Amino acid sequence: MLEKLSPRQEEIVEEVFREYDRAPNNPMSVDMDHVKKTLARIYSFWDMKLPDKIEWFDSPAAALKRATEITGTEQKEPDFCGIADSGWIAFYDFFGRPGVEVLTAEENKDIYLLRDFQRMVWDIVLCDDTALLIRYPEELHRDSNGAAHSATGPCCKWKDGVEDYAWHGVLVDKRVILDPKSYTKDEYLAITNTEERRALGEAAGWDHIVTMLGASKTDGWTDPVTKLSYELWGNGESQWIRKQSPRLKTDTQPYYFEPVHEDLKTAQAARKWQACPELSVAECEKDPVLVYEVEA
Amino acid sequence: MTKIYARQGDLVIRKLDAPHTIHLIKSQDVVVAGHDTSPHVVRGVVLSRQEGREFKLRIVEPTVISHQDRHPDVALVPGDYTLTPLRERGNAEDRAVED
Repeated sequence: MLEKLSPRQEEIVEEVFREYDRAPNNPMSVDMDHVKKTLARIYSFWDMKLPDKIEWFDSPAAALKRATEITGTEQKEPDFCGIADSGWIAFYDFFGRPGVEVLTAEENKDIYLLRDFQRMVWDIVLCDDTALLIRYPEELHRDSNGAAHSATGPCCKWKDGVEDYAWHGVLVDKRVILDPKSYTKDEYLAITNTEERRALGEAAGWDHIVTMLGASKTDGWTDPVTKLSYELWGNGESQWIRKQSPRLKTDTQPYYFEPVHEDLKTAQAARKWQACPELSVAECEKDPVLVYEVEA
Repeated sequence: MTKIYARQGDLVIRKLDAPHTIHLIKSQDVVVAGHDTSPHVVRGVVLSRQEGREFKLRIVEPTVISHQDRHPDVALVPGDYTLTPLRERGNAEDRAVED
């Protein structure tokens, strides 16, 4: 039994991660023999044979529309066998790698089948007599965590013209990305999905949102060493820190607006709260002094 | 009073008094934050490991963390460091600020 990873195995973890992280933006050429072999294996789990009909689509929306036509009921989601769900494949793949070898090639054969399939086919919608396959998008944009994201346009551009918009993995209306400041206060507060509201706030900029929400300044502090200014803003429910940047390469010092804990009382404590995740609000208020050797 | 080595934008850089105990991996020009939009890069060959929001680093030769777009370089002398993003508040929870 593997109880602790060796240093080399730790490195293999990183190698596997990097390989899987690269994959969504670097699809493999489609090998239909492999695709059919994998599909046949998937259908066999339901004691079914691979259907004669295999249809390709240029976007999930198109495949789901076709699946709705075939089944007569609205199909809203693919079968989650695609590259976006390759995390668990990576897990088992790791345990079969040379240097780890907890799982044999025979034990992992279905894993390897699906791994390569996912790098050729974005995802699938399987009907009883038709297999619907989705091609990779023309463009795919992701953030540092690998989540679908673009601050300037669609995160996914599909070959049939369909465009998806996302902010750090949260699918949003394109207006959030293309014209976030067009939202009114009522529209902003009417968004019931808290992740979408956060996405809009970040896309529009908290400065804009704070003004829109009627927040006002409750406290201010200037660092006596750096002369940078910090302000605490709130509207009775939420709070934000408005802080001046150290001088940038562009010789400017823009302001940033970032949401902070609703129980903070002072701007100086809010500054420390941001930098010290190990400290509570009370600890930051009790001792708000934070000194950096360098602030850039 | 709390003393921290440095901040570069939304990246907090702590220099440790004692070395990291976990295994660190040799890497070159490691992106430690802001990968997709505005990367913070530790130049040269270093030993590093990311665990959740923390980036654990060992500097053997003096180097810098450089930032592509905005922030000046921050010098790193030999030693062990922990890098973390600033935190912010969202949906009654704490999360990392992203560049």
